[in-house]
Amino acid sequence: MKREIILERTIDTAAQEMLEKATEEHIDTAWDRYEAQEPQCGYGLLGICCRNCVMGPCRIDPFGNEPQKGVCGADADTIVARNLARMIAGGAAAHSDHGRDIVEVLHLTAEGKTQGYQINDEEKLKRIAQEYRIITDERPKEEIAKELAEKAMEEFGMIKNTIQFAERAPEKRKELWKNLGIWPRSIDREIVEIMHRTHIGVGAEIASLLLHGLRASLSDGWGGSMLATEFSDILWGTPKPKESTVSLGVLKEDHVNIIVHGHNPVLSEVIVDAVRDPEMIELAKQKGAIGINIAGICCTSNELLMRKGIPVAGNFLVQELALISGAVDAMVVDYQCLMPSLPSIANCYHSKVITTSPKAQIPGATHIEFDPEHAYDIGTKIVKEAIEAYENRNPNLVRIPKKIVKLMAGFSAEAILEALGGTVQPLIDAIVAGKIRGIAAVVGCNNPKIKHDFNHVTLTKRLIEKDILVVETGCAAIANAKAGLLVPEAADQAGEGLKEVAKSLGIPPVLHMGSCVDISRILNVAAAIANKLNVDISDLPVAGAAPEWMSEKAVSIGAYVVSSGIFTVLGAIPPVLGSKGVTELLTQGLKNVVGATFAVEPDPEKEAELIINHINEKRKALGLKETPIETVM
Amino acid sequence: MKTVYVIPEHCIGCKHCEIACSVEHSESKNLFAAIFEEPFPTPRIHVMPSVGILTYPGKCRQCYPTPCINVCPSGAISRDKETETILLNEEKCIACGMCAIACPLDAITFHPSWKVSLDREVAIKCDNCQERISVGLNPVCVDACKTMALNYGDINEIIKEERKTVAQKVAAVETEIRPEIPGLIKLWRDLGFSMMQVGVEK
Amino acid sequence: MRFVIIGTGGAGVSGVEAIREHDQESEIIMISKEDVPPYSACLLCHYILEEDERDTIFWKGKDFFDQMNITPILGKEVKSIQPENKKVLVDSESVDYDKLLIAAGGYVDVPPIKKLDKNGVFTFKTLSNTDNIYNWVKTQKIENAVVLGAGFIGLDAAEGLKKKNINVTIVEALDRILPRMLDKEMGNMAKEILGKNDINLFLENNITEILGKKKVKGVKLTDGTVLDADIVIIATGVKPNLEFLRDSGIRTNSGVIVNEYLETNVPNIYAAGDVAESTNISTENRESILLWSNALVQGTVAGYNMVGKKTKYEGSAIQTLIKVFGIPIISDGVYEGEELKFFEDSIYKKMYLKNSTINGYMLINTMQNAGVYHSLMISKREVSKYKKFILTNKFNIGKIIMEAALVS
Repeated sequence: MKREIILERTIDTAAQEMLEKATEEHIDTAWDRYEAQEPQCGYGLLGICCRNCVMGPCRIDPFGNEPQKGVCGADADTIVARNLARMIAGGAAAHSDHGRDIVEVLHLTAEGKTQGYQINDEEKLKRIAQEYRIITDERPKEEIAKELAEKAMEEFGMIKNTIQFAERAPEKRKELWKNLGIWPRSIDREIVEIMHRTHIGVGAEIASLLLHGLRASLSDGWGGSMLATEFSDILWGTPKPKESTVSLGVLKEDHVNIIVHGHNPVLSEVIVDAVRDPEMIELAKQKGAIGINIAGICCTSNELLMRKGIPVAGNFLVQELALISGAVDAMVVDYQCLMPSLPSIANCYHSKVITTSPKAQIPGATHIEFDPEHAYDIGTKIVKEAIEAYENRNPNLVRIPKKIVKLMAGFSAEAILEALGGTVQPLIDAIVAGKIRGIAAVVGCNNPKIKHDFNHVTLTKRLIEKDILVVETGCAAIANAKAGLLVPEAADQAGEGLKEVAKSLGIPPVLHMGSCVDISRILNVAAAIANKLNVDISDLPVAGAAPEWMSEKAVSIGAYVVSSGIFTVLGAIPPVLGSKGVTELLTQGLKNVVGATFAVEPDPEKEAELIINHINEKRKALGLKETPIETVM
Repeated sequence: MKTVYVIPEHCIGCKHCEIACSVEHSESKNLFAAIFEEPFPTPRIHVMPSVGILTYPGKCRQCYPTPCINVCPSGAISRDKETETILLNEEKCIACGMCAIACPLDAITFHPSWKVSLDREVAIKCDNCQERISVGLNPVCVDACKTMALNYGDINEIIKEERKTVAQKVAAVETEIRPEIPGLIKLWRDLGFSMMQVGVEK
Repeated sequence: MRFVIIGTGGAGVSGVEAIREHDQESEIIMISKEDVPPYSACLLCHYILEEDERDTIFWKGKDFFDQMNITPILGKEVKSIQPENKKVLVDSESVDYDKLLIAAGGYVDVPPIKKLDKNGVFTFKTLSNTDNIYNWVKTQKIENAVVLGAGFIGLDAAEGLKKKNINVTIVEALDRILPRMLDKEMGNMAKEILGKNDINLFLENNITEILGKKKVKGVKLTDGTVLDADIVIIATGVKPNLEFLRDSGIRTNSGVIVNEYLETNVPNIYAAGDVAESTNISTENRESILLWSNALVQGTVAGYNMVGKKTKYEGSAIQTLIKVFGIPIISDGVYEGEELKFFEDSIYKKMYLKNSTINGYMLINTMQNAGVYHSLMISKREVSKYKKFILTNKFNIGKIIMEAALVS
């Protein structure tokens, strides 16, 4: 493959190096498969095909010819709205099922049934237990945890009819949700109701379908995702700022390399422990390695990075490239964003792909089923597999990129508060003074339709240049980590105001807040600021962006961020343009409903403009200074 | 000559070719912009129901001899010397319809074209994606077709190749040929036959 | 070698193109009564509407003679042909030929009408006719028009005049419009189109007399009806121009008699287009068929034969299409045999089957499958299994091709 094509695919030089190797070795990656799919199906891109029943499949001609209706009579509006709602259901289900798994582990741990877990953040346990009105005084933490976990389990059912964490939202926002009838009742219920509403012959009216979609997304953002975040913090500790490294260069030629990949920290946390087990290290040495190296990909990586400072190998589109380095002995995966192509690429090398979740099995992979009751044993078994694989590593096929980039992560809401001295007031002051003009959340995936990392990095740079504090999670955070923006020194690339604030606090201008379920942390910060100012979130100079999004989870995130009142720009075009009604509703109509809308903008420069303009408008509406104060250090 | 040839048994009726064709012949050449264009872009290929549940992608085969050229009263239709594609000059077309009724494959339709005017219809037919083939790309329907029902190549070469393997050239139209059918498609086709059987018994 | 072509219509032009395909060197002379580059007669009705459409009728470009390296002799009439000297007499001069193509076309066969020589009475066949009509309409105050003949020249003329907000009346001798295309029933269906567009129609009638002094004021019909008219267009049948061949020794019947290579009984003389007789592939009769599409093919075939590329003419199809106020009307073949009908939503289709093959069909307000029916008809393909739905939307080319592919 020509060098120019590779340069068009990614801006990550380590990834470029691996793509060259892939070309030499005739290995196809997501980019090649994307090319093979082109031109992609127009019906799919526009969202106007429906497979919800077997009178169909039906599709609507986007150019005004017949057919304009499905067999049941659904038109483009209905079909697009139903499909979008189902995407939200898929995303909310993924996040929330992840949350459920964490709740279960907390419950089992409280009962003493797990192996290798303990309650690490007792303070947080109590704080959250109090939110649930659980008596915490003079009770052992296990007892509190058990009761809390059981209360959390009710969030998934239909007894309570409300979601506790939604109470964290500002009063005005809560009022708005209630008035719209989209207050989330329970996590599973809203998701199931989407599946019901979108079944043949149920909902056809787009506003009611989409409003319910928003409701289900709220049950994700303020429910399933938030439970995943908060309960993970209880189990493994609330993240604090810490330094680490990123890029494929974190792989080590003379070590056993284990990559953990996926989203749920339950398994990877014990792998980290198992890797440090002297017995394992000894075994590795016997096999000729100096030690065992662990690094992560995607949000499993973010979870470990935030809490343990484990290095990051890369984001979503790097998963195949990691294997192509030839230096990965085992890639241990849990669930979500795993490419089914991994085993076939691993087969070109000695690498093992080990699936661990019964929910995410992949043909060609080694399946070692994980269960929390035997977590540590299973963890060591997996590490042993990796060490054994190391023996078969072919040094001729190994090429590890040199690039290693430093980063600082670990900015949980609590950590940010701590950095600010225990209250959000200094942040509000900085915003009022115009030193920080606003806050933008840059989140989301990678997508081979978009030059890898380019949109994330370009957008983030443009925003910090304009004194907008950027908070990030997921693959967006990893992209900017690789671009060197997640270190305090990157403050030099920010505008004067943000630079001053970041330097004085010793933090990067771009804050890594965790995995994609940790967007709930961003909601918490936004809610805290709004509550402090006694305004709604939609009044704040904040915005969201998903410059390289691709998954259903991202749709759910976008939906709950917008329905929480935050204007959100999408970098990839969602499959809705086939319906004028739905498109208008999402990009305009929602403004009058939830006080925020979606925008679609694939060009990161323009995306930045949209966000900057939006933040300026919000500042104006709040009566804040138009231009930043010229600061003197 | 190089042309798009059809292996009808491979068609699964997804109509992907239609969309790709419409977009390629739109003013913007971008799906998301094309759906807002006036006049609506229109395809040069039409997937139609065929025998049983089978479908057939109908399009111009750039035939020899060429009835549409023979009947055009305005000199709008001609054969490109280099690519041997039958091209239609939309400016010259008066939409009389002669070419359409002369076409044995029903491959010419009438729509307004952005190249000419919103107000009048002109004949619309496959141009083998002249712009794409001039830069070495396949016609867009060929790239859009994921089941190899539409293919691009030198028809004589293909037929020669075919004779070696299948021993016999098929069909009324020379560009309809039959190589080995992939397993999945065959399964699907057999299903089609069984559905047809059910229909017959009724 | 010198090729001489009499006529610059469709057959002449395609003949020249066929010659030039194989021979770029030899001299070609084209002779025409009309002093203009080749134009397409089918486009004349477009021009009748708008002057700026006039240039569009020169379908091969105004520089056709230069493009093809042709010496034109224009505005002059061929008086006779002398095969023994290989000469064509054009007005006073004579032109030598080695190979001659007679593509002289036809003329409007005007029926006997009293006091025909009034200003404002036109035929509508040539560009100069059309120029005259255009100028008359532009310079005179025209309220009423009468068109004689409801064939497709007549309907074209009527539509053109109607679109200029003139009251139009059509007078037709037979009992239906488009009598050469439609039977009585379909003629009635087609008549609705004229009614909807406010065109008056007198069937089974004829103009017996033109009224007015110098300028036309009206017409009198066979049944005694008197109609006001500021313009009268005679659009009765067209006949081949055979007059100048009378003493040439070239045999004629309804048209010039040619063999399958379009050669006349005289060596080195060929005939093509409206002037020539050909085999109707539906009836297998030798007739004068007078259709643009056949003229083009005949011209091409004659051209090939003239340069020595032996090519057979397979016969003339009689598939015909006219759009009346945008509504297509199609006819083809012979209306005999088992009758199939599909009348729905102002779409009328009728088909005749003979020996399980299509014998003929008529379509009004749809063009769907016309080409498919035509090719099934001329290839005499068995269609009985499609009989139940051949005229419905369910029928399409996909069924035929797929079936052929599956069977073989």
